[in-house]
Amino acid sequence: MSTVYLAIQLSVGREVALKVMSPVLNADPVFSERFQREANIVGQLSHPNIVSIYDIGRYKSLNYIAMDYLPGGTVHEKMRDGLEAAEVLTVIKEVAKALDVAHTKGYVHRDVKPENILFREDGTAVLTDFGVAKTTSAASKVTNAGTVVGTPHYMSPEQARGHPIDGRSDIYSLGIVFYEMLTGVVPYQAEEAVAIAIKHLTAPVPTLPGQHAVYQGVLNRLLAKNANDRFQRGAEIVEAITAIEETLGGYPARRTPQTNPSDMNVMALFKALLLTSFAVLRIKLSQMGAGVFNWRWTPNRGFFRHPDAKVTEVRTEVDTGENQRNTVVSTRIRKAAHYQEMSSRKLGIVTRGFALLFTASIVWSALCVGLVRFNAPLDQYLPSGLEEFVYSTAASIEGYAERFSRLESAEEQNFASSRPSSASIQNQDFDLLEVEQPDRQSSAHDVNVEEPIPNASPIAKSRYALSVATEPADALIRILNIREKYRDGIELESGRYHLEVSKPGYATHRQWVSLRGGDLTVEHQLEPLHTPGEVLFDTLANGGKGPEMIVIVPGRFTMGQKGEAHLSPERDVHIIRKFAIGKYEVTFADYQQFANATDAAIPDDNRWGQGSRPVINVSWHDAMAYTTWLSEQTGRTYRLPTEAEWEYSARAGSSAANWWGDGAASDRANCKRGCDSDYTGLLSSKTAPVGSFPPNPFGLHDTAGNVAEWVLDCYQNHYIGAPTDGSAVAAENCSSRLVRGGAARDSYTELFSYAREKESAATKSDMIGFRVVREFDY
Amino acid sequence: MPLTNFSAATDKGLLRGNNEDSYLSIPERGLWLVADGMGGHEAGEVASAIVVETIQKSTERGNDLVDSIQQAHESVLSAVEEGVGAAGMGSTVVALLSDEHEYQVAWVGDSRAYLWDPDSTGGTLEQISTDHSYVQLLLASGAIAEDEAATHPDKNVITQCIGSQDAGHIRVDSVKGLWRQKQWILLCSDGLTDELSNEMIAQILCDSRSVRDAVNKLVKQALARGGRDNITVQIIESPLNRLSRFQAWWDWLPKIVGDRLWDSLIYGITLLSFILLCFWLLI
Repeated sequence: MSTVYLAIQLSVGREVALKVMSPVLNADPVFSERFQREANIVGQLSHPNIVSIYDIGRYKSLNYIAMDYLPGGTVHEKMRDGLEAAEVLTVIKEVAKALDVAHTKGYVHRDVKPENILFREDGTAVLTDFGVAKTTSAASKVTNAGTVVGTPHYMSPEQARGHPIDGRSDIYSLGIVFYEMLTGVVPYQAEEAVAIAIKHLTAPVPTLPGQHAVYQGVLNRLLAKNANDRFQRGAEIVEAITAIEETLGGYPARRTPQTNPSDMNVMALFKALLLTSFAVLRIKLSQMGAGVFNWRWTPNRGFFRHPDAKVTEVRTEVDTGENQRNTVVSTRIRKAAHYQEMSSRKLGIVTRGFALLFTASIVWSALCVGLVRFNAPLDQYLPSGLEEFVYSTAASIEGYAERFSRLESAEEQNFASSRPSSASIQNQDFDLLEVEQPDRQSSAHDVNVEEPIPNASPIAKSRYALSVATEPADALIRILNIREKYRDGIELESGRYHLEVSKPGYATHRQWVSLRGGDLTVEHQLEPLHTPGEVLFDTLANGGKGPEMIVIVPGRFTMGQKGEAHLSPERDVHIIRKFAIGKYEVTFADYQQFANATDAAIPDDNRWGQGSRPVINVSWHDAMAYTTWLSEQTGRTYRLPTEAEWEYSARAGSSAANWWGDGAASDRANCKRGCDSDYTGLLSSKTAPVGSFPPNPFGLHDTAGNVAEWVLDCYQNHYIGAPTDGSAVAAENCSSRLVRGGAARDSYTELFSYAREKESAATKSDMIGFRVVREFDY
Repeated sequence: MPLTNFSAATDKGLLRGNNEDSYLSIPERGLWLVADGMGGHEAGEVASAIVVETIQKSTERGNDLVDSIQQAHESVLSAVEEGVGAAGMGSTVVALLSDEHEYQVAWVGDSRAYLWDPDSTGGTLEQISTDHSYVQLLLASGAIAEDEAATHPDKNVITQCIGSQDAGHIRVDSVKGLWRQKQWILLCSDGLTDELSNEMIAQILCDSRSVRDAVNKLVKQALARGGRDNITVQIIESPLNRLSRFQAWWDWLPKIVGDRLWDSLIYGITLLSFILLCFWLLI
């Protein structure tokens, strides 16, 4: 705003301080006025302790004031070097004299602070900078719109309050300077301007350190909150200080403290600081207290509060007179309609994360439980890690639900047993316990469990032994839904457990078992893991041998043929379950065992021979009876192949008309035309012993030709709505079945993999036989 | 979002030679703001213009309103460093960001926002913003009383502004609220509130039929009472045509996506899953 230069007044050859106003501010009326006013005021005040003005004027665009040059520096600078108490008193006396003069003339300095007290060469203190001084009479109406408030360390309470001020405000400011000169710090300190102002208004007068205690009385009167309690004039200050100086006999006002002086100093300072901070702290606390009770919370908004708002209400009394509306306007403070967010955005992200986690976990839990409940074939679709996770999630949830329902039922039981009418139930419970207790203990001894079981504690009552007997016995057993490792006869709390039995080369078996009310032994025979292409046979109950089977790997293929109504629509079939299919058609030898065992008639062989020739003259019902018997004999599930399974096995991966391609069979099948078969001639065609022709890539013989083969499906003259997962078309009261693969009497064009022939279920033909399929349990 | 009905007016007043106020209205994005520049020598205009421009660009990039104002503060400071405007220039700001259901008001300095809620027998005028002024702080601390505040000579001294040199970081205050039908929000510079008391503003709003009418009357009245400072007024009407019945429910569901349709879908699926779970496990 203005710059002060050290200049030489050429006319008289003296050093002056030249205060030059920044030319940018010339246009600003506020600053110009201030500049002029300073000169006017100081010009009227002639006193050795007030800076004197030599000249005011304008050179080109520069406004200037020439003043006393004061080389002694400011009080502010002196304080840094340290001031003796006697020096302080002198300075205060001198400034008080200066203020007395100014106040008498009707001026208030308004900005008394160490920076504005300078020293002459001889050490006399001089009050300067009357830039913001005002006459007490004039109504203060300087608009300082839009200025940001400075740090009001030297502001009097009435200034802070915005009341009109007089000279006593300067005396308060001088009191602050006095304190600061003695102690080196201003009494009221805070980070914000407002907090300082509040301390000026409310905090008690600070206590001086011990060695300066003599001046406490003077300070109290300088810093009184109420202007009427202060020194009313500068002259009174001078008197009071002089009186003190006299009582001290001119000696420096320093009593030698008995304790360490620096300690005392720190303690006193600390005390002063504590006292002054207290007022602000109290106000802040009461504000905070009021704030805390206003807090509300919703997950969407987080923490928020409705602040107090100034609300102006307009109430209109509806008057009948036209355009005459009487209104009542009132203002009051009430809770606002809007709200203030208290929480940070980080908290919002956390809430969002939790919400997402919560919803996702519920959906995932439901999905897992659903999948496990409905026995979805997870192992075929999911990677094993994910599958494991699904099982463990479902297991733990089922476990919780179990525990929850048990808790409920236990409560019910407690409730029931407390009533005399249910004494019988109670007795039963006791019986159960009595039987169980010794039993459990003895079994514990037998298996030699390392951990001793606590005696008859109420928790132990609900633990039972679980053992799994496997065949073969060295299988690995795990319980998937608990941490504990399985050992034979493991003691577990009642509940549901997810067992896994596995052994290399065998199918892994998983099973839920319910352990409740007693020990449990689970038996399981492991299924050998049949690899695709492997040939296997089952042993019959009478020691005989079942048909040879080939394990087929599940997969996809296109079933049917475009352009023919009974083969349309062409569609993708995905066979999901592994199965084994007969390597050969069922032979007379196989069928003989069935006939012997069930007293069924042996079908006519047309005198072509029996033994290894395929069985013929069997109806669909005969074939079904055979599979049922075979299942009983072996303990496995045997049945006729479904149409899809049959076609899949016959194609053996080829999309051509037959497994060898689209051409004639030429020595690959037994048929009448295009096969070059030794068993068919111009006049007669007969069946060949099974396996007389080469197998297809899956290892199956005679899928094409020899005898046509029954399948499980019910015949439809189209594929519309037929299942695509390899299962059979089923229909109630099915009258027509079908055969596949063509026979010895057909031409090679009737041997195509997709060819199908409608037959009544009761038909017995010398050109129709069948082969069987064995299912796997896994 | 549907365009919102609003009206804005600015006047340089009767004593000032220039208009240091700036305002911005973008109904398509639901952004309105009033900035009152200061610093003399046309620097005030520069400051308030920078504030308007910065907040517009920053919110367009999807920034939070409070962050945008913070950014405006840095823009003004860097403009001073580059020699644009004058040192010590600054600006107050009050901004409204609104969507179909909620509004957010953020401010720095003593430009104010009011909420006018009319009813059949009159209405209530609520002062949304609390001034960042020295007097307001003294009042809040209980050091001075309401009537002392009204006549305090330092009434116009503000504790912070956008571009204030001593504060590297300014404190932007912000409140949020849910729109109700027929509400208006009034944004104004202190040129209006210095001349008109809250009671007078309420009376004028009560007597006005449209936002346009209200804005004109307010400016005219402020000029009639002295017009010692630049006057800028904006009134924005509530975008709500009907009340959302599920508003209370939404408060209790944390946002996940932020879009109501998606959130309701997610919570719907969760509820369904939960019911299924209960069905499977407990029955």
